Amino acid sequence: MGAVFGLRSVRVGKIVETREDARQVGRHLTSAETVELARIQKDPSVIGYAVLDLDGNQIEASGVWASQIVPVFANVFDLADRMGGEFGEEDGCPVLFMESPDFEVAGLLLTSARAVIIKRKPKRVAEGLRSVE
Amino acid sequence: MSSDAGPVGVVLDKICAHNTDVLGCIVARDGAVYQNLPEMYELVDTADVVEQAENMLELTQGLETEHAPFDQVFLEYDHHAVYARRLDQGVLLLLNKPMERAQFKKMQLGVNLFLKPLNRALTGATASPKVPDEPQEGGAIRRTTRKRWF
Repeated sequence: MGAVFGLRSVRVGKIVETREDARQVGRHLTSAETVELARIQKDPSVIGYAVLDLDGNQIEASGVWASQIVPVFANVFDLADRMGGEFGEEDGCPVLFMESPDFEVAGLLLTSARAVIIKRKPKRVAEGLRSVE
Repeated sequence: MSSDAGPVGVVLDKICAHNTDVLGCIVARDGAVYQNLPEMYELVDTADVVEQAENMLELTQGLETEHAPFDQVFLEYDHHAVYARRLDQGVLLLLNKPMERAQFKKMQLGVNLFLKPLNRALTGATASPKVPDEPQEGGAIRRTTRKRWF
């Protein structure tokens, strides 16, 4: 999971996690996944993330687009699983990536949850730095 | 593997020929679906697959208000990988052998080379587009000229 993004940039969003969030996450993730997620949150290039259960319900969401990530990607995961079925894939879509000119998103199937990680592309960060006077 | 006749089919053939991990392509625009898939995938509902890809891209448009929308999706499955890319008009889907992120980046570069001809073929659909047999201007990696990356 840690190798999803290999780039580094500047943190532009603040990720806040409460104790209740941590408890919720702990119910759905293995200890190794929890540790890895905590490590990812500290990565300065990650500007948002969410954890969903396998039914698409929010367990935790934080950072950029926190209120929108879960409903959007719950549907994206469903569509990805359905598309896999068309090609004979029986186990759904374990990994997906989405890209825009400014952002990258990774969606991962964990043991009993899904994780969505959002990162700003370094090109965009550099453009912001250039525009500083 | 044979594709629909016409300029779009020509570009799809070129994309498949240039990217060895690509099993087949689908392009859709305004309800018209062009495909270049092996026979074993003839039962695939390509219109449904295209709709799902378009919906994925459409859904994520709600996330962004001030920046450009998400225009590419890469899906890893156990036995396949699917790459969907929004075009000027329509969407391109590539069905690939299983690949990881690093291979995907390489393939993405290979697809970029044919985006202009594909967009031209889809929008024009009359004149036969110039499709490079090999990577040409714009997409080729220039080894002698250093360019600014932003």
